[in-house]
Amino acid sequence: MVDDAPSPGDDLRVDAGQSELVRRAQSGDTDAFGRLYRLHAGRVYALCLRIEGDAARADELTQDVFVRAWERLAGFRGESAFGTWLHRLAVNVVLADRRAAWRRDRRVTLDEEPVALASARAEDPGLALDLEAAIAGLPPGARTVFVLHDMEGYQHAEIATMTGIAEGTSKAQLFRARRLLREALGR
Amino acid sequence: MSDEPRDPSLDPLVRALPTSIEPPRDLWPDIERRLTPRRRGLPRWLPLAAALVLLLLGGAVLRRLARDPMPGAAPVASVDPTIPVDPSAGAERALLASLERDAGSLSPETIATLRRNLAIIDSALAESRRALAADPGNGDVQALLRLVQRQRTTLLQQAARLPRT
Repeated sequence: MVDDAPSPGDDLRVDAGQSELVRRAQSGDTDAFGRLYRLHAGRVYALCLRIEGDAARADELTQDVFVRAWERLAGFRGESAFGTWLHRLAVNVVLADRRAAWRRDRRVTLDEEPVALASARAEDPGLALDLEAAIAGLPPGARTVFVLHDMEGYQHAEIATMTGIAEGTSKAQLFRARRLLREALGR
Repeated sequence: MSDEPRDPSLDPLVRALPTSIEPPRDLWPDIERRLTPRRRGLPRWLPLAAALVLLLLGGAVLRRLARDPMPGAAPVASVDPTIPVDPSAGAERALLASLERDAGSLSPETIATLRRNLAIIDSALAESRRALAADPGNGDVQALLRLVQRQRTTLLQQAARLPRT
């Protein structure tokens, strides 16, 4: 891993290259936008997959994120890195989908009582895969908070704002998510 | 930064997870189909449109001056020879040279109007050429460019026909 670490010069070159792609995409160049998609699709898909817990839905949402990004690209002023802007947009798109899903199905809410998870260890050999499977098996509310807090680094206050839940609910969901994951992983 | 201590039993596993997971299939073709064509260079049309409006107004002023020249106007200004001219437009070059020769016989108001309009239209021409360079296939910008070029020729022709004092 250390050998693959980019130097600061590499970062600058990457940023400059992406800035040019962004500029071209802003002027309507879909090929340039396609290259931006190739650079960022994995990160966006990972976020969608982990919050949704469903590969087909993650597939659809990833498309939605990039279509939305194309529509809003004119408003991107380069005040942050394109990847940061895109990631935040992806979080907003996925959470909007989650809110719509929660409205559609009142039986599943952020305040739901978590259920015990089936052990993920039996399904996948690796611990990382175990964790991925266990996260996918979390109730939607707990999964969303866990991914945003423990994986994406958002704070409870930010999660509360983004999801529309109380900060205390966010903390409770994180506590539940962690407990369920420890149980599922036998840790 | 997170605002809550990490869970020591889960944190190593979380950190080991990849930040990126490639989609199982290429989503780009579906995404590309959904992209609405961006109206390339649209903002560049604004100065073009503004230039055309001003040009029409300027043309009206020139026509009025042609019908009713200012009496006793002193010839103090000349056509700015630094104004860029399309090098392919020989007729325009000849018209501009003629105006420079006769500039002393035109009123200052007429010369000022002419200079203002030429500057506007040359700026619009440069802008539209840049837009066309960025998007050579844009037929709308091509049409606008031709229109502005024609307006430039018309303006110079009108100026050449103005009565001299």
